[in-house]
Amino acid sequence: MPVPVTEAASPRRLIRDEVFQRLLQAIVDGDLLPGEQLYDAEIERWVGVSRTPVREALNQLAAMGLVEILPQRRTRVTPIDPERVRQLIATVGVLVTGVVRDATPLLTDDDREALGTAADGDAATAVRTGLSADGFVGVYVRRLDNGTIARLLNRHLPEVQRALNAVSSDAALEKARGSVKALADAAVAGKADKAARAAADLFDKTLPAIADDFAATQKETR
Amino acid sequence: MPLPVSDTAPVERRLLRDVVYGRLYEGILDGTLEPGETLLDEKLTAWLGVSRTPIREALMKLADLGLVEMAPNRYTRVAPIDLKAIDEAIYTTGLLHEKAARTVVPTIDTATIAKLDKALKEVKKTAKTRELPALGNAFNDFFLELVRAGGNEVLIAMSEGLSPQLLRYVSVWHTPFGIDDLPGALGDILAAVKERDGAKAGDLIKGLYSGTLTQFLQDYRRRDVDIAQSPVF
Repeated sequence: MPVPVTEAASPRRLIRDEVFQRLLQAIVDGDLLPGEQLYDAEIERWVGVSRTPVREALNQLAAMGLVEILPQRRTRVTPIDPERVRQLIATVGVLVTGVVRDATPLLTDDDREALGTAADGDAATAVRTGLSADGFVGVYVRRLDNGTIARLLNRHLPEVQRALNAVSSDAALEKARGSVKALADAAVAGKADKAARAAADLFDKTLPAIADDFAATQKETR
Repeated sequence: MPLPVSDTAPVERRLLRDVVYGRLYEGILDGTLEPGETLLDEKLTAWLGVSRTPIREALMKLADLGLVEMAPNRYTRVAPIDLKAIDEAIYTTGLLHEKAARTVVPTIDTATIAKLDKALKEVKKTAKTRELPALGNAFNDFFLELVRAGGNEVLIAMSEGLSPQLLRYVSVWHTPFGIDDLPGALGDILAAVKERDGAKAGDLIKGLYSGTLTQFLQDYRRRDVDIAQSPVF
């Protein structure tokens, strides 16, 4: 007979998730720098847990592409590669544009209210928040209720976020904010095709421009 | 000073994991390992003749694709067929394939078109003989060729990662795709591809997959009150 185990009795999973979240946040925010070497012992001390959950969390981050593990050699934060950032933006854009097109008719009054303030604040905040569970992407993905797309975005958005956090080009961010505003306005007005066009604009034009700026600054610093 | 480590050990281990992964993947998709079947480490080590580590690594990768479910200290099993998850995955796949067509088709090369011709021939043959797993593979190959031609590694990996759900779908074949309609639908898409008409190919693909959204909204999407209780994102 299998030993009955309740959900609450799996603290190991909770610890791993906690370590994962802390490392993820540090990488996305840039506290752990692109290319920075990661040592198990340091992370164990920092988070205050044993080696197993640290390795599990690192494996999970490696699967997302945020960490590189060369077995028995080194583990490091994956450097930012502008070409990969472009590919990520394009791919995430396909999902988000599709969801915007198909879920606009499903939006509730609360959703429209949340979208009404989507482009407020400074450009960097508006764009970064927009592309998270707290922004328009979150509103739309929750409303469509497609768990597969939610899982894929959870996997790839942090890497996009990290790239956005690493750039400081105000002009490019301001243009991207314009796309977010156009998208939100069309969504509030219930115009699905127009909102989808704004989403395509964001992911095919204004966000890739940020990746281009980043590539240019990287070249300069080399 | 760090000890010098040769490259051979990790490489061999990686290959072993890939072999184990391949066997389990095939076993799940062809039904040798049944949906819901419990996977015991000791039985898998006996079956595949390898140690526990590569098996655990392969299982983690399969769990990531949604083909295996792992609940620590409780069970590891072949994921039961989940029609909602399959519908979601095919809808998502449709978005990726539509985009790939719109991007790739205007400048597609003849080598890719030859591959598409070959995949379509296989779709026609297997649809006629009702060889379902083979039809699923051929259908999937047709679109993966288009996706691969685009060269976006992230998009290619995502498409490939969703493939198992599409392939599993053929084992419980019903709407939204009719078996007899497929060869014609793919034939129309290929004709648009040959005209280098990306917009037309994209529209046809959108139409081909549109049933997945209709079905999702009808049968699988939860009510707004339930969404508020446990949002997916």
